[in-house]
Amino acid sequence: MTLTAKSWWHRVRHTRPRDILHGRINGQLDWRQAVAGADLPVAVADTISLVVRKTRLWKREQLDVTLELIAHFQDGLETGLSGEELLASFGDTANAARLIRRSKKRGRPFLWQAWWWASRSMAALFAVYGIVVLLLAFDRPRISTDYLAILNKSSISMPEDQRGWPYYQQALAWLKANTEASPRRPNVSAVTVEDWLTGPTDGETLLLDNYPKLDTAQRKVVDAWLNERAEFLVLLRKAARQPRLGLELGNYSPQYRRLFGMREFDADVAEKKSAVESSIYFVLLPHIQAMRGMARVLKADLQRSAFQGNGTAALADLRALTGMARHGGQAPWLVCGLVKCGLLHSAMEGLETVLAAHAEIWSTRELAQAAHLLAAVSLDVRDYVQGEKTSFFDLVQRLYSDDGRGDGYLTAAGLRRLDREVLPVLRAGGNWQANHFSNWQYLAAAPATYFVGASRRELLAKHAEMWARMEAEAERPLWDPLPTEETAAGQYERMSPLARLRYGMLDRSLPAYRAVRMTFEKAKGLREGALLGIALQLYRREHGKWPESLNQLVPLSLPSLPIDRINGGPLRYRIVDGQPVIYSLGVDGKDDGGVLPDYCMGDPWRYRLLWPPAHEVAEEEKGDWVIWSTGSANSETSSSGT
Amino acid sequence: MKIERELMRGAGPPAVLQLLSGGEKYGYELVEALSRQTDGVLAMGQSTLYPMLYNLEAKNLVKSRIDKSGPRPRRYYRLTRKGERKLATDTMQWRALFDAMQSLGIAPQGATAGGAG
Repeated sequence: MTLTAKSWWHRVRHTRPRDILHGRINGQLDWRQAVAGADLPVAVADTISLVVRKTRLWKREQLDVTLELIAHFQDGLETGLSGEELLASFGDTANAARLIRRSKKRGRPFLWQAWWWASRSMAALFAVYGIVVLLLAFDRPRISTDYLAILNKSSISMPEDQRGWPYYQQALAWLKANTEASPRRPNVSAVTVEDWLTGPTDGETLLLDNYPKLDTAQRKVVDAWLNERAEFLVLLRKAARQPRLGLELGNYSPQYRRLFGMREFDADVAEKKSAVESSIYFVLLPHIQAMRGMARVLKADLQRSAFQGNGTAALADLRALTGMARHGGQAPWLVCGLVKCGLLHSAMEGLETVLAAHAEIWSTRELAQAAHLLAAVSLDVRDYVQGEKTSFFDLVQRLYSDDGRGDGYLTAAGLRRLDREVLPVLRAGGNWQANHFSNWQYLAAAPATYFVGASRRELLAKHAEMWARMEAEAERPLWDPLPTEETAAGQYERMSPLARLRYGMLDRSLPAYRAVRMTFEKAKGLREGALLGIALQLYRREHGKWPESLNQLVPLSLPSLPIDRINGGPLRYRIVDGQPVIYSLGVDGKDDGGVLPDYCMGDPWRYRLLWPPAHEVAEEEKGDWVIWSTGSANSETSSSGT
Repeated sequence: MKIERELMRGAGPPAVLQLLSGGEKYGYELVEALSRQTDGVLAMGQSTLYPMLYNLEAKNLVKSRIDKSGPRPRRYYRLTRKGERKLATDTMQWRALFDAMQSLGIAPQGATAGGAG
């Protein structure tokens, strides 16, 4: 082999690094020189060059192949075969180059193999990621169902004269027009419904909520305040008499928006309203909060009427409170159910004031009417399940794509909405700070959610499963709970961190159904107490004394006796200071004489129903859940149990 | 007779391993031996033989060395231990295959898988 004159740089490029380090720039890896120096027929030399060049192997490998092929042909030539004969048996050059390249690469060092596979795998992953990016870039959530329209269908179709909202609105407008300043902020003009409904104060004390405990002077202040709002009260009673609230949720009128200080609604704003903002998940319900304020006023008026011996006004207020409870609970969300329970509780507090010391203001017929008013308010937490589910479906359709077969994925646009609009609300307690990435960044991040997060179908299936568990749990009485592992909370606890990440949307979007159910249980328990209280009053009127046992109320006053909602046993009954006390044994299961735990501060609405029931309860939980009492529960006991 | 590529792909490596079991050989020797000993049935060109040898080497079934003592440098191939084991396994499998084909009447009756019958 003769090394013909080549440039220094050419020789450097064809010299082993080891030789370069030793200062030997020999160009030994130049396979072309090897072919040129082999003294082979031109056709053979060309074939070898063609094959070796096509292998595109490393220089050292190409030189090895070259030398081997040269030796092969030289051996063949020495046996007397011609170059043409040898070439005829050589085979296809392109195929030879391909096979040689492939087999030589298989023999390369492990590190190179590892790098080769890793780089190819990475490239494949990037390619797949890129394809998904493109997929997510062009796909958009498709809003196929107008859940808000479905929700509002019955409200819109209702005749005007059967709607309560126009009267509530009139009442609030009257209040706004006739309230000059906020008692809470005397130097600021009244700007919110809460301000208009705060009521009179005695320094720092709000007087409206404590009418029975006020002294004469304070009552005069409240009476005057209520007298000034007589027209407001008339409108409230009128509103509450209507069969339905009749308010179109979400699509609020300009009047509604002005009333609650909401952003003015016009075509321009409507266009800018984002898809999530207009979902029913984020429908604002400021009127619900206003109803709570209005109920405070009604309750105070009911209590005032009791003190003033005005049974008609008191019954009208009770009717208004129960009517408002029905209206407040007509929207299908759990929060509305909670408001309904709260409004009904206000009605029961007013009833307690009447029966405590002013029962004579109501005739027997009016007492029965009061009982019917309370009993007519539906308290079924299941009424609110479908609304919550629908809200989630609406949210999902605004974040996920839809393949038309019920499946899809979180798109880049959906991820943006999730980060900027949904999570700041869902994680309000966790102070979620929206990242405000650019659209490109959301697009780059979206495939990660595609691979890690659940698909639309998976998410909805898990949502359905969790709801089924929550509903099954709520079906069971408090004393017979589902095993923890069968509950939604238990299921969530058993999820792996990856699964929790996968179904992260459910983490905050599933409501605290168990807690809401507990509130309903409390409302139902206290209503049972109130109905028993009315039955006791009726018994006393007929017999001149309280019954010895609650059993004496059946069947004349009640078809059957309610049970202790906590343990399934009979309710306890005592006469304390000449007033009946009805109570559950409470979460500790022990009879503490009809005394509420201290933390309740005398208010049974504050009682904590523990779930699941604890075998050992904390000291502060000890006590009974008093569901009806018109006197002081702490006075000495003077009568027997059931 | 020309053997189809798929059959050749299966028969080639054990044939080469078998030839190398008799001692190390260089490429042209193998081509010659294959052609001669199989009456040309397993004759293969360089375009097939060398990639096969490189594959066998990558699998550590054969080892190569360059001998520079002759008139030209030659690469010699020899069996490794692994190659010997592989050859033993392949031989058993080919015999079983041959017996099966014989029982079906595809291989000639009277011949034995262990050699000429």
